[in-house]
Amino acid sequence: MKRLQQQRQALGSDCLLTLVVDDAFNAEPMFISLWQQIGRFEATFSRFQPDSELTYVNEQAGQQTPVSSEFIALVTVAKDLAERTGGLYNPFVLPSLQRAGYKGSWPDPQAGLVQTDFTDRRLVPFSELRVGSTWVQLPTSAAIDFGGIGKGYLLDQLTDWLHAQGVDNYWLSLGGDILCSGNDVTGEPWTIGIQGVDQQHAVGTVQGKGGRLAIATSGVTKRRGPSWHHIIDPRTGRPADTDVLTATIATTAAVEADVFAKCAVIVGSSAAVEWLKSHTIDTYLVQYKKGTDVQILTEGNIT
Amino acid sequence: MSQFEVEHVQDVGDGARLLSLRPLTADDCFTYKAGQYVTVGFERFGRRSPVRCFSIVSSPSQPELQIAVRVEGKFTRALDEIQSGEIMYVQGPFGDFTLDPLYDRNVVFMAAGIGITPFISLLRQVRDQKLPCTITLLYRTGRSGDVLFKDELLQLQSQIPNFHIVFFTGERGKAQIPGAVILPESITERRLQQITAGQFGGVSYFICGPSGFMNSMEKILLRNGVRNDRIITESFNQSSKLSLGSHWSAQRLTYVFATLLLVVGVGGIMALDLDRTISKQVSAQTMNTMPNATANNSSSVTTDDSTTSTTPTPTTTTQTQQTYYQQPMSSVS
Repeated sequence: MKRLQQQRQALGSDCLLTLVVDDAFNAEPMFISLWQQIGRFEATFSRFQPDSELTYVNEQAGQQTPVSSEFIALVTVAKDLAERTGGLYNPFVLPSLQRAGYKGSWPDPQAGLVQTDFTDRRLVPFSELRVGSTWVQLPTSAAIDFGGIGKGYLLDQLTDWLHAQGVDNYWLSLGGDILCSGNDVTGEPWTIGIQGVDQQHAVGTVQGKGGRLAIATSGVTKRRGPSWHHIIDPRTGRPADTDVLTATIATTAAVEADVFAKCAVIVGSSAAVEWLKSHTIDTYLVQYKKGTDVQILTEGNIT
Repeated sequence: MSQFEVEHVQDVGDGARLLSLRPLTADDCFTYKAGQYVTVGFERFGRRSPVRCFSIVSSPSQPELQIAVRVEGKFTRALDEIQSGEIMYVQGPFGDFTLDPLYDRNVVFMAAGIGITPFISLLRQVRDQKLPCTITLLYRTGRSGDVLFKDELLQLQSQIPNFHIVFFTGERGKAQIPGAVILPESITERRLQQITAGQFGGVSYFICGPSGFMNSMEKILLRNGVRNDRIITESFNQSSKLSLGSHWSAQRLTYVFATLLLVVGVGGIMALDLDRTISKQVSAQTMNTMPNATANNSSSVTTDDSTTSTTPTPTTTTQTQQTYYQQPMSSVS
């Protein structure tokens, strides 16, 4: 067995693909295909590209807009998660996010294009979105963005594809969101580190059990000012006023880990544990600020 | 017909040469799209050569017009002797082997041998105009030495986001292209299914190479449900395309029909003699305007056998292969 790893910049971040295969020759087309799927996803759903399907849908707000089946699939997942989180996740936060200064892609969030600038629109409840079998209709004043779930959703898609190809041992990282399956080349389950607020050292690890394990971390540590970060609280339309610095969720679906981690940040440390338990999340690590110290709340298979 | 001066000649691998041409005057300039082709002729010993078709290698944003030539027959052998400063007669552009930036967002380029030339033009366009395309180039070569534009392709791969190349060398274990994905096999249906993740729909497929290669690729795509309008081919045998061009004016058609009526209407030896005379004239004039493209820059690459499948080990890894292993670490996304 061989462990092969490739790294590229995609989705505005570092992406790492690691496959454990018995035939390295067959891994090459798989890497190509994985990168192609990632590129295709970005071209379709990027809010930074003026000719992405997402930007087109935003431009057509107020009208029934024919969209691809991929768009319908993702918007359906987003709608489901918006309902399950009671609106704490809302893909209509884009105008608020842009008003908070995030018009461009990291690391230059202020470098947005006029065509993708929707700061003149407003945050509306996600229930106002209409979805048909081949079309969507945004409220006139709204703009949608899947930044909150995109990487997690894509990880789930990629892992489904890998399993269909007969690859069961791998880990994929899209900008720090990780999905692993099976074992390392040694036969041991994967061990995933959880980055501390210093963005350098691990403060914990999650041990896989051979099955599918998704881990996502959200936080406000990439902020560029004392209260300026990219996690918008849909209840206020402003960057979340929270003491949570990072929240890491481990579960089986990357899209859920992605969304629930953000929700844990939004609700704050005092409510995070209860909120996560009520959503059947039993493995998490929350780093929060207490005075000048960083405290950790953790539960489940994290050491 | 425009006149161009040969400005520069450059080797691009495997005996092929890249000719950079500049228009003699402003009137000789013409606009073209990446992926199109031109007909080219020149003079030898005071006589005008027949013309042949060549894909344009340059991108529209380049000041010079570039074509690539590999010696295959009399014409290309003569053309191979062209030196800087000589004059060439260029007509065109022709062809629809072009990208629609709004429609062709996800693209697979399939090239064999010298069929890579229009793709160089298309890739330069994608790079120069920063087109948001996701592109995979599947390049079927005869052996590792046959990789034309190797350096430029690898450079383009590093310059264009979401552009990946897979070299199919067809010869086990001999390919050495540092930083490239090399599969020592033919382009098979199984490989295509893997590379496209089985999602053949919503992708535009551009194919250029010898007819055997193009036929086998087209069959695979159609078998996997790709719509006809999503398969764009560029055959080196382009006489049919040319014949539908401006050369078939009403005047020429009238001439041909009148000639045919005359042949049918006149009997005996006189008619046969007349018939022969007219045929020679038509043939001679047609040769001056309709290039026999079958003998032009066709590739020496043999027909791709889509059923061939080998399972050797890879000879190199991709440029993104890590030299050290990074441990998984969940971080703020």
